[in-house]
Amino acid sequence: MDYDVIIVGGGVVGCAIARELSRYRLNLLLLDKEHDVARGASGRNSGVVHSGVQVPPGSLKAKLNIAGSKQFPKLCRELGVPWRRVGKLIVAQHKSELAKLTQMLGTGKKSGIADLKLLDKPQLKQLEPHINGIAALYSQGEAIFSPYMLNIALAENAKQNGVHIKLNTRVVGIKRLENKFKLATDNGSYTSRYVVNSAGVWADKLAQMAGITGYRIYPCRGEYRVLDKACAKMINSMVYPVPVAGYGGLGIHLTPTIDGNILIGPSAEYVKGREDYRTTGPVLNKLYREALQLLPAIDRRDFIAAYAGIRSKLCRPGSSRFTDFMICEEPKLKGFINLVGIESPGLSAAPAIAKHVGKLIAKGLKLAPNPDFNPRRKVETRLDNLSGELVCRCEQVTRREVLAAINNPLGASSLSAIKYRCRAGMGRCQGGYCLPRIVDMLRETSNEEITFHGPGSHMFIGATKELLKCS
Amino acid sequence: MRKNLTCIICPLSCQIRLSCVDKDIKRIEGALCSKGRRYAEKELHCPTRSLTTTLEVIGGEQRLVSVKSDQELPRELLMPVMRQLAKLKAQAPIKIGQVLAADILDTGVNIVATRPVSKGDNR
Amino acid sequence: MQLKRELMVIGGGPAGLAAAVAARRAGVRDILLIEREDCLGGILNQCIHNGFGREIFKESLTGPEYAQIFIEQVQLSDIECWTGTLVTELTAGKRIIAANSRGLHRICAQAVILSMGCRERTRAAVDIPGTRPAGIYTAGVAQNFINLRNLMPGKRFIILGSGDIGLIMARRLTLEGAEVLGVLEKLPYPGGLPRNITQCLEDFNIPLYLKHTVTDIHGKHRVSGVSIAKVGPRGGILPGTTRKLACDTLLLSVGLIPENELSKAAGIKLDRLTGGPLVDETGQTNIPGIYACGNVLHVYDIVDQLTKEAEAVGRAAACYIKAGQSQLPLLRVQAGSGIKYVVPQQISAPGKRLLSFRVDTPGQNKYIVIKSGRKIIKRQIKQRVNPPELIQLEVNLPELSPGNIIKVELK
Repeated sequence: MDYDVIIVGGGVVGCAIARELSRYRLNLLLLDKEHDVARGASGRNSGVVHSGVQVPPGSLKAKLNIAGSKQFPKLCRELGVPWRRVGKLIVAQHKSELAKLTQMLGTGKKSGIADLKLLDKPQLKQLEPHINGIAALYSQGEAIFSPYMLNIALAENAKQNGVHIKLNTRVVGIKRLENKFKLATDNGSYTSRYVVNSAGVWADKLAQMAGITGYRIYPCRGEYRVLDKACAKMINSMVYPVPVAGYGGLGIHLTPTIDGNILIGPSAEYVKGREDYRTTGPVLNKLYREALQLLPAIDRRDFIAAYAGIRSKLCRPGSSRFTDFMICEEPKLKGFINLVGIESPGLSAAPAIAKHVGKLIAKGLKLAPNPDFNPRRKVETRLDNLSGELVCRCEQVTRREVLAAINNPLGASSLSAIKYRCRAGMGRCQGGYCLPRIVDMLRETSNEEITFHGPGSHMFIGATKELLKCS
Repeated sequence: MRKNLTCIICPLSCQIRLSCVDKDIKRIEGALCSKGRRYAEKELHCPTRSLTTTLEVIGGEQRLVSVKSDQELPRELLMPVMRQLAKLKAQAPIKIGQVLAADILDTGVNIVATRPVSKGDNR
Repeated sequence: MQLKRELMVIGGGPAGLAAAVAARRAGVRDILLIEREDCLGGILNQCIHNGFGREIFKESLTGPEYAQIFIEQVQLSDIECWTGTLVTELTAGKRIIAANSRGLHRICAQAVILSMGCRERTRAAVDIPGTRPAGIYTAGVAQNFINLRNLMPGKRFIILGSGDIGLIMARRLTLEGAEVLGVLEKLPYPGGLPRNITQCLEDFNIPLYLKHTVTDIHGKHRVSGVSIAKVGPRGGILPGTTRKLACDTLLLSVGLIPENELSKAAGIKLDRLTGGPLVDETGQTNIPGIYACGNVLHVYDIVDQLTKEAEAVGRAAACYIKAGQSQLPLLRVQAGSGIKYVVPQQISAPGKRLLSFRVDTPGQNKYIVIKSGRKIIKRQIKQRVNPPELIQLEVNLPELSPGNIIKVELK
């Protein structure tokens, strides 16, 4: 089939674009090389809707961030994604940092963020009794949400509105034909008038396949630790240190998650591998140390997991230069839209990026409204009242919820896909209780190999005694 | 010859020190009970071990039934017996203590169920 | 609708079963035993190895056989059991909410016995960096898959942690035809019983690497190997000792934590040393009428001891139900130097009292000294002390002077 638009990359940006374009009568295809969406940076971050206070005013980043964050309440309502305003504190620990707070207040106001104020020590203590600090910049409007839930919800809603989604499909070559592109993949080839490159950390490589060589992404890893829900009451708002120029990130911060955990991180370290999602001993220790500075009440015993994500940086290691999002239809390659260097605040900006890309496409394609477009995602809502058999004890997930996750609309089948959809296995026992039960449920529903996160990640080598039969 | 053994009869795990001549125990120290001596003698001549494992179940409520050897087996036969058991299946219902494999590998030792399994569809 | 019972027992493993039967024998008529699994017996169902029951039954039973004895007693005493039911909430007023396939249930009782057991520590608890591929299992989960679900998690294993579960799994995996490259222990001595070193490792030539740990996990989709290194005297990694071992599975046997989420939410005070509730000699927590027994209290190494103590707790709960009240704690019991923890942590009534405790490092010819205030009330020499082996000593406390502290020390 000839598509109008092929979107490469099922991160939050790709899925937001797919969903935005599904408002119109277009033939749309979204490709992702992984077995599920949200496998890259979109599923590995702090889960924050930034207001824009940490980006230079006037930049595309600031513009899209501010516009995007304003769309979150409506978007999350439509998609059934929990979202909550908790506010953000940028906390000064030393007098030397006070000037920076005042400067950030000024920048924020210039960007049009109204609900900013400076807090002195007693005000800070009142808001956050457990936090160490002498003053803080308080940005009340900032919110938290589950980034992978939003990503999944966008994809599901896009699919519901007619977007074709092909997972486990890696683009290996791009050919320019007359008026259209031909994308060769390891799972068939596809043609379309427009190509949207939302390949995240691979965006420069994908652009290269189309002959555009001007981009270079520098992968920058951020590691996180996750604290038990038992610690949820230690903080009310997001707690950030005062940023240090050239750090490569916003500094190691504490973020309450929508599900009741606290995240510590991320670190910032340039790495070679674009998918080198390792955690490392020294960084994990550093996260602990730096988090203790902000929140001395943390107990090592409350760590339940650690993970890492990779930022798609356009700024080379060692440089403290600000680099903006690169979003454009390539002048030399009409119909090819590149989104490169979409790092933080990419998540907050995603809804606005989608609209922005929509406008770029409207220049070349006639966009007639899709009469069947439904902005609301069909959703098996999380039950308010627990009922029925609980499969996951820590996160109190019922059998019905796990079944809904197993039979998810995208057809992503793995233990991770289930975990990200219903939270079974995300709690303090990390699957010790629910894993055998979920495996039972998977064995009841299909004969497919059970994987941890898609092809190659098999959980079992077969039945017991099979090793004895071959020896 | 001197030899040190850890008695495996009970959790006390007595550290037994032996002086022996050609597998004959001349002196034994460290065993808190008489079972320790018997264990040491057997350990010198022909070490034996209990075997506990599982057998696949046909038509049961569980996929597997846990089993044990009703006597100890010569230690070197543990793996051969396991390979033999890999070829066998047990039909539900199964009673606790039921012999599921008699006289395994002509040892005179039976493999018996250590839990009941009622009829079912194995899920 | 709210159901009422005289006694509720939360958890149908060895502790809950024994406590329920003992309470019934002590005259409690109206007992409800709640178990989250579909069958009673708890963790014993997957512990198919033998060695259970030597103290009580004078023979070596397997886990399922040991459990079956108590399951039959529960059935014969006609105790109401709800299996497949998870308690999601407990209050200080002894009300619970339980969820099962029939829905949500609210039940209140005169007394509650907590016997929820323990759970395994995970990778995060030991902070192993590296990738997050398939092939990292806690030992108990792997045991569950192999012994109950007929699924083999891998072919080539490294086991981190030399506690009994790790050792038992090393043998079990080998018998199933898998290769166990080694069992690693960060401490200078093994965490499991010496007899398990013999019959689980030495019998199968499985190396035990003391003072070693896993420092990194490799592999993108499935574990491809781990890095291991020597641990120095202060617990740090010794530089230059790291090497990589190719394997497809890492088994973590890195400790157990009493499962007290329900207890905490109910306001039950916990002991940081055991991870379980603070109890008196009857197993009563700080909330009168709520008792704890089994691994929820502290992690036992021998089920026979656990059974005996759980039975005593069942009887104590029965007394409480009859009397409608219980005695309040008068004395504190503390772990002194050389002692990891001691249970009970409080004493409410005079008499002969059994103290259970663990030493914190192995040693030979050590004195156990028990003091009441400054007075030594018991002194006993031990040829050998070992952290994996729980020590139990009885002390006679003919009278209690309130506020006094009983201290257990190792000299």
